[in-house]
Amino acid sequence: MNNAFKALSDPTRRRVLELLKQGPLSAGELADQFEVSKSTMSAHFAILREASLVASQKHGKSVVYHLQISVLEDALLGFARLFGWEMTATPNATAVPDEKKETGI
Amino acid sequence: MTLEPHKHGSPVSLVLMGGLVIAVLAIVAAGEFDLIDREWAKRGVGAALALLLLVLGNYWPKLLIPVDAWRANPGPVLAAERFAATILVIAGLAALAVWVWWPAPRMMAVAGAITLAGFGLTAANWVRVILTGGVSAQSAARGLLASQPRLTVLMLMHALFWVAVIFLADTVWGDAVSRWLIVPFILLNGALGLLYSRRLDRQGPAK
Repeated sequence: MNNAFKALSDPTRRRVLELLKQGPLSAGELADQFEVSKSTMSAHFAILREASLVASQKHGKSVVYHLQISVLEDALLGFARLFGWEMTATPNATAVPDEKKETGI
Repeated sequence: MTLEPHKHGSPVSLVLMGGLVIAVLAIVAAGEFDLIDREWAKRGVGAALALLLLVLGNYWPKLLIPVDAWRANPGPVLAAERFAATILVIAGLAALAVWVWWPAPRMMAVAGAITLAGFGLTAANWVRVILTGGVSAQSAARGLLASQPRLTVLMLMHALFWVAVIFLADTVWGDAVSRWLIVPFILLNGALGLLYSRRLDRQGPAK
């Protein structure tokens, strides 16, 4: 659950989850929605997968992500969106340890 | 297309589900041996079953749907999955409140009706998605039964459905009717078990 809180504390990751509510999207399609580097997006995807909030499937050369959030996590996402909740312990939300980075795009 | 290694659910969820099933059995036994008051035993069993519905509903969206089940038209299928999970969680919460606070004479019927309403709304929404969302009944069923964990949860939900039917029938028509309801439950559960064993034969044990 701690991983889920960490994952939901960042607005970019919350936006990824909101986009995935419409249906599965490839890593490239998701990355196109944000003005951040692909490696940063990959790090966000890794955190979301670590928290089991998304699942990924290889589709040829691309990776397709789809939502995998429980009802409780969905409620937390709504709560975080409503109150703009961000974790103060990680002020730079895009700063993710290198070992978590992956080539999902 | 390959599936990434995937966690089907946390050990906490599995322990919670197993613990609830054991709690139900323990409370039934305690009531039978007059270790606790019969009414409180009934309330305890009902509350544990409502909690189980809540946990299963919450857990359901975590269970992976293989790509072929959703890739063709994923939006309506995933929306229906989320709707079903949310409705079952709400039904579980409402039934839990009934078992805790509702006066004894009608609590079984009210909790049963709430649970059945949850399953009914879920089924009605799936029918709507099939009729208007461009999703075939076959692909909806394939998604529903897509993996062993899904089938396991579905069997538990099926049992909870029949428990709710029996609770309601027992209050409305009495023992004479409710005891016969075990027959369709056993038959349908056997059919689900057959599906389960076929899946095991075809795919091997769950990863």
